[in-house]
Amino acid sequence: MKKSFLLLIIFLFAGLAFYGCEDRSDLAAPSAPSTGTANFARYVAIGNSITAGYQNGAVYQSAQMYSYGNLIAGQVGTTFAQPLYSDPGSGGRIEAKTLFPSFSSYINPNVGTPINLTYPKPYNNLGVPGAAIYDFLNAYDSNSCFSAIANPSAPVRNPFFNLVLRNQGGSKFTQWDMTKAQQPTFVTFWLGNNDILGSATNGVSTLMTPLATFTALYNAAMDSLKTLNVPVVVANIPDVTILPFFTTVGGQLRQQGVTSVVGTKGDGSVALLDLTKNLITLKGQAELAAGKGTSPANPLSNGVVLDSAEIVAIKTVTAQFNGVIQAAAAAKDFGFVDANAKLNQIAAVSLTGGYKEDGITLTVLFVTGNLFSLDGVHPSSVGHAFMANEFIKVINTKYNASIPRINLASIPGSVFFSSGPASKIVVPDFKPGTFDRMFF
Amino acid sequence: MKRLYTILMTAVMLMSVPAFGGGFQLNEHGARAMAMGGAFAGYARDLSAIYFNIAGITYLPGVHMQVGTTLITPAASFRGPSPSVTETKMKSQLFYPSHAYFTYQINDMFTAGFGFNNPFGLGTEWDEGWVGQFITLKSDLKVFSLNPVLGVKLSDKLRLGVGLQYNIATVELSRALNFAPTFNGTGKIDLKGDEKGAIGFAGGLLYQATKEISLGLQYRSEVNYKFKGTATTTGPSQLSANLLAGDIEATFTSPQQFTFGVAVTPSSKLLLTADFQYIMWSSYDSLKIDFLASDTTISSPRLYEDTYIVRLGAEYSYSDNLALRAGLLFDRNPVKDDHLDPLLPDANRIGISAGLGYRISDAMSLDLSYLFLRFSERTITKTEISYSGNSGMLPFTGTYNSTANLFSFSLNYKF
Repeated sequence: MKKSFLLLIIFLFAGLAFYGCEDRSDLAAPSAPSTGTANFARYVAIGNSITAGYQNGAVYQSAQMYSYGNLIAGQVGTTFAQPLYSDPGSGGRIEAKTLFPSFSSYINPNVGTPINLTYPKPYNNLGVPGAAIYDFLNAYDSNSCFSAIANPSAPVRNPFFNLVLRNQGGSKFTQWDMTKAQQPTFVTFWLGNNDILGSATNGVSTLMTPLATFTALYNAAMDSLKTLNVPVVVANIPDVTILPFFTTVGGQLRQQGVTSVVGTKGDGSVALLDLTKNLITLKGQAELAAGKGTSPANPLSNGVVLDSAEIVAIKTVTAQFNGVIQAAAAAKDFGFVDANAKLNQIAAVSLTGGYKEDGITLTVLFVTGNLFSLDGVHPSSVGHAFMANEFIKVINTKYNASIPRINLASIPGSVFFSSGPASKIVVPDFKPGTFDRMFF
Repeated sequence: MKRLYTILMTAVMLMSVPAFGGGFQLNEHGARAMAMGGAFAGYARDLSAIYFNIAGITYLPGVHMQVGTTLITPAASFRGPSPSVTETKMKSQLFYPSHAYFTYQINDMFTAGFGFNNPFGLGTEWDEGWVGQFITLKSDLKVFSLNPVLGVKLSDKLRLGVGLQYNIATVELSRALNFAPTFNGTGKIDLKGDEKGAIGFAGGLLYQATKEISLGLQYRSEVNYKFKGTATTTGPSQLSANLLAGDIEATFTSPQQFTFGVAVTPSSKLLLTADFQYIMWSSYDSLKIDFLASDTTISSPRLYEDTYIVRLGAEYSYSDNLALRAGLLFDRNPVKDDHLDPLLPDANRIGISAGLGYRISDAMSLDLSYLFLRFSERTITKTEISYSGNSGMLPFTGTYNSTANLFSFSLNYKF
C-alpha cells in the first residue's frame, strides 16, 4: 500500500514534468505572400509629394516610413530605399498646438537633415514633392523643374529635385532616367495632381496645365514606361475641391451661422460669396482673422478663394486629365487605381457617418477625418495605408497576386502635438505664412 | 476557490476605454486541502473548514489556531497578434495569499471561529510598450476577508456551520492610451480604488452518512463590491479636455457558489475525497466604471459563464506522525473566447498536487504542499478585444499559454 502510493506520486510527477515541458514553439511565421506575375525585386514608385510621404507640410522620416510605396514594399517584403529626412524634416512641419475649444497650429521651427544622401543607387522612392507631369522627363534639379521655368519672372526653385535626384558634376538624370537606371521589375506612377493643385491652392484656375499639353506629356511618360516592359500601375487625380484645405474654413463659418463672405473672384470682381457654392482655403483663415471678408471695401483676396466658376473649371479639368490617364493605362495595359472615385466615395458619406474600415472611420474632414494630415492636402499615415490598399487590390487582380491588405488600425497617428503647455486659444488658427513653403 | 491568484482577475478594460476590475477567486486557503486538489468540502476537519465547509469546525475540540501562506508564481505568455507569432511574457511576480484561523469549542454543540484569508486576488503585469499595452499594463486586486463563523453539531451525524464575510479590497488597473490614428502620441490611465466593507455570508452542512462516507455541502454568497477611487490620466495637454479622470466608482459582484463534497475512508489509513464546485460567474456580465466628474459611464461586456471545478484528493497516513497527500483538479474557465484578454489570460486548467502533513508534537503540526497548474493552450481567432487605440480597432488575436506553481504551508497549534 505504501509503495503503491509512493509509486502513484512518482508517476504523477513524471507525467506532470512531461506535460509541463511540452513544446509550445510549433507556431510558424507566415510565409511571404504570392505576388503572382508581378515581381517586386526592384520596385520603383514615381510621383510627387504624396509618393514622397509628405505630411503636415514637410518631409520627415517618421512620415516617410508610411509612404504608400514603402507600405506596399513592406507587404511584399522587398527593399525600398527612400531619401529620408530626419524629424522634424524639411522645415515648416505643422503641429497641433491646441485642439479645444478650437484647433490652433504651431510651426516647428526646427529642421532635420537628409540621412540617406549617400545611398549608392537611385532611390526606389522617386516621389519629388512639387513635381508636375512635365518634370518626369525633363527636370533634373531645382533650376530645371517646371516651377522654376514656368514663370521666369518669379521662378520657384524646388530643392526637392536636388534632394531626390542628387545630380552632381553636371549630370542631368530625371525621374525617368533614375527609374530606367534601376532596371525596375515593378513600377507605380502617380503624377498629375500638381498640374491642377498648385493652381487651386493659390485660389485661381488659370495656372492649370493646358489639356493638350498634359495629354502629350502624360502619354510621353507612358510611352517611356512601356519600354521597360514590366508591370506598371498608375493612379489618377483626386478632385482637389474635396480636400480639407478647401472645405474646412467655409464649413466652420457655416457652423457659426455665417452663410456668405465678401471675396475677390477669379475675374477680379468683388462679390458676396455663398459659402455653399464657393470655397475658402486654409490660407484664408489669417485674412478672416484680420477682419477681411466682411465688407466690399475689405474683401478676401483672390488667392484664398475658389469661386464657383473656378470650382467648375477645376472639376472639368480634373475629369479631362483623368480621362487621359485612364485611356493611357488601358492602351498600355497598365494597372489603374481610381483614386478619384475612391475619395469621392468617402466624401459622399463624410457628413453621414463616414466610411468605415478596420474600425476606423474615414472622412474628408480636417483632423478628425483621419485621412489627411494637418496641411489639409496630404494624406496622413492612415491615408497612405488606405491608398496602399487600393494599389494592392489592383495588383492582386491584375497580376493574380495575393498580397495581404494593410490593417488601417495598425498604423500609428501622424499629427504631432507641439511641445510645451497649451496656451490660450490663438486666433488665427493658422498663422500667416503657414502654407507658403508647402510644395505640392 | 477558484481562480488562481494571478492570472486571474478580472478584467476589464474595454478597449477604447478604461475599465475597472473585478476579482477572482483563490482556492488555496490551507496547505492540507491544497495538497488534496482542494477536494475538502466533504471532510473539512481542519481549520481551513472556515473556508471550505464551516460545519467542519465542530470536529475541532478545544482551541485551535492555524497560520499559513501560499506562494504563487504564475507565468503567462502571449503570441500575436495574429499573424505575428512574436511572444511576450508576462512579468514574473510572486503572490502570497495568506490565512489565519482560530476556533473555540464553546460546548459540545457550538463551536465559534474566526478566519482571515484572501478569497479573491489577481495580478498581471506586462512590460511598458508591449503590443497589448493599450489593453492592459497592470492589474492588481487584493481582497482581505474577515470571517466570524459558528458551527453547530445538530446530531452525531449532522453538523451545520454559518458565517459572515466582511471584505476589504483594493484594486489598481492601468493601461496605455493611444491617440491614433489621427494623433501621434500616447498616454496612460491608472485607476485606483478601494472597498472598505462588502458583506457576504456562507453556510455549510456535513453529514456522516455511514462510518466510511461523509457528505458535505457548502454555499458562499455573492458579494457586491463598490469600489471608490481616482483615475489618473496622462496624455498630450492638447487633449486634456477630453481625457477621463478624477473620481470614479465601479461595482463588481463576486459569484455565488455551491460545493458538493464526498469523503470516503476505506481504511483507517486512507482518506479519499471528491468535490464538485459550481461557480455562478454569470453574475459578472459587464464591468461599469462611472467617472463622476464628467458624468460618464463606461461599460465593458464580460459575459462570463457559469462554470465548475472537479477535484479529487487522497491522504494516506504513512505513520502516526506523517501523512502523504495528492490530488487532481480540472477547472473549467468562465471566460468566453471572444472576451478573453491579457488582463486575465484564463483557460481551462489541470492541476496536480502533492504534499505532506507532519506532527511535530501533540500540540503542533505542519502541512506542506505543492500544486502545479497547467492552463490549456488557448488560441483566439475571433475576438471583441481590440488593441490599437481610441478609434482604431485591431482584433487582439493570438495564443495564450500559462502555468502556475504554488507552494503552501500551514502551521497548526491546538490547546
